[in-house]
Amino acid sequence: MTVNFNYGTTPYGQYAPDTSTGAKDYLNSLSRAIPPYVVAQNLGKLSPLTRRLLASAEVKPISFPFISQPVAKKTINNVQKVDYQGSFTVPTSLDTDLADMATLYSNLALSTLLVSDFEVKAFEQGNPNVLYDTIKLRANETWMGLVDQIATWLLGSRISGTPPAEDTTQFYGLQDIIDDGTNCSNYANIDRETNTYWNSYIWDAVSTFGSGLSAYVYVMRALAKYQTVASTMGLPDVGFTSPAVFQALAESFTNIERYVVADPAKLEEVRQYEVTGIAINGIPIFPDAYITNNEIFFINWSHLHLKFCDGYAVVSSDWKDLSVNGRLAYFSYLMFGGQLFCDAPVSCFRLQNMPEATGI
Amino acid sequence: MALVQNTSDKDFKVVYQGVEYIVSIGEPIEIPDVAAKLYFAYGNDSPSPDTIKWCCQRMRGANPGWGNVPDKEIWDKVIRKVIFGKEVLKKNRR
Repeated sequence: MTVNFNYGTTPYGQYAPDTSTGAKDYLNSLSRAIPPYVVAQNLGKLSPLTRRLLASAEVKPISFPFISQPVAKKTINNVQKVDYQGSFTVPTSLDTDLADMATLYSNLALSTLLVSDFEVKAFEQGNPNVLYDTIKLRANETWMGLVDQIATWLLGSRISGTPPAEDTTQFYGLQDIIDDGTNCSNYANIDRETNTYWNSYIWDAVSTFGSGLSAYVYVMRALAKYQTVASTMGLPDVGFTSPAVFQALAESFTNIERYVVADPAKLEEVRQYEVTGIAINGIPIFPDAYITNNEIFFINWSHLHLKFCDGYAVVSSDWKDLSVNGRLAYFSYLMFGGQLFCDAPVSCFRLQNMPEATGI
Repeated sequence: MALVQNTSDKDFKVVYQGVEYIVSIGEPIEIPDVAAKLYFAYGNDSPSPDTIKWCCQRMRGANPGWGNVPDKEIWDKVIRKVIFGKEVLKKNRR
């Protein structure tokens, strides 16, 4: 057996995945192809609300690290009636000025995808499948971890701890956005105390609508109440709640269920089950495991947006050589940068203290 | 922080950033400035009807059981009976 000492043409030992062997292209193409696949496969299982937010997310050419978006803080009505002389009054002030514009800060969440020394050597020895499988596994883990964190942030609050502190580098969560100021009093740099239009309604089901009602009745009453207090916004598009509240909501229909068997001969022997949303007054409600309180978030998709910053919209970096850190390994990092924001928090509302099914 | 005292005839609480502050009858207590603004329109000499509505809405949210108490009652009988800062000190010196 002859030993190949031709270092000039065949790389030998530890070398960065480069173009001479095609390894760089291979790793790069993997790093770009796997994430969307993994996300599509696993996101629905994690959090349907996060999946919906990501599915309708937009990429905007925004300079990192912040975005600014003008929002309406109050209803504007400049309607003038023209009299028989054809005269009307010219408004003396503009309803919207610079002070009415909010600046929403966009933040970067970072996760890494690592390929260890072992896989790199296996690749060199002519077994790319080992590398492929390992990258796939690590990509899967890394993406699940990243999306788990993102879902926790998007559905939670960036104010936490004792005493409570706001982490301004984190994404805004639904609890900051759909709020009446008692959690996040200065959402997106707009003061909720002086700008009353910047609040969302939060109702306690039992104390607002009475105790002992069926779960679906609370939802119907809340939707009716919302229509009367915030009619200009229309009804929200969808509700998301915890699995325990969802189950209680489903069970609340039991006493009005009717089975109509018109023709016994047509009874199918196969039972089918399908869990979709529960639609009440035309508003579908879905369970999401990342919501753990006994509340329902009603969301208006026309006003709630997830915006990615161009250049940071879920991208993976080139492969970096870790030998400078004393590791025979390469790594690539994934970047996920954007912001969740609502241009009219009053378009969404929360119904708290809903009945919960026990044991979930 | 703002020093507040409840001179109404009802105990109540305010919740701000997940922390509950129990405002008992006659007991002076310090709460964050922002919480006082959100719940009592602290520092606002002529609150608008909208501000009054939202103060009452937040009081209802923090106090289960007040769900059906009308705005007027919460505003006149509770919120307007909350005194601040120097008034608290003056009252307790007497």
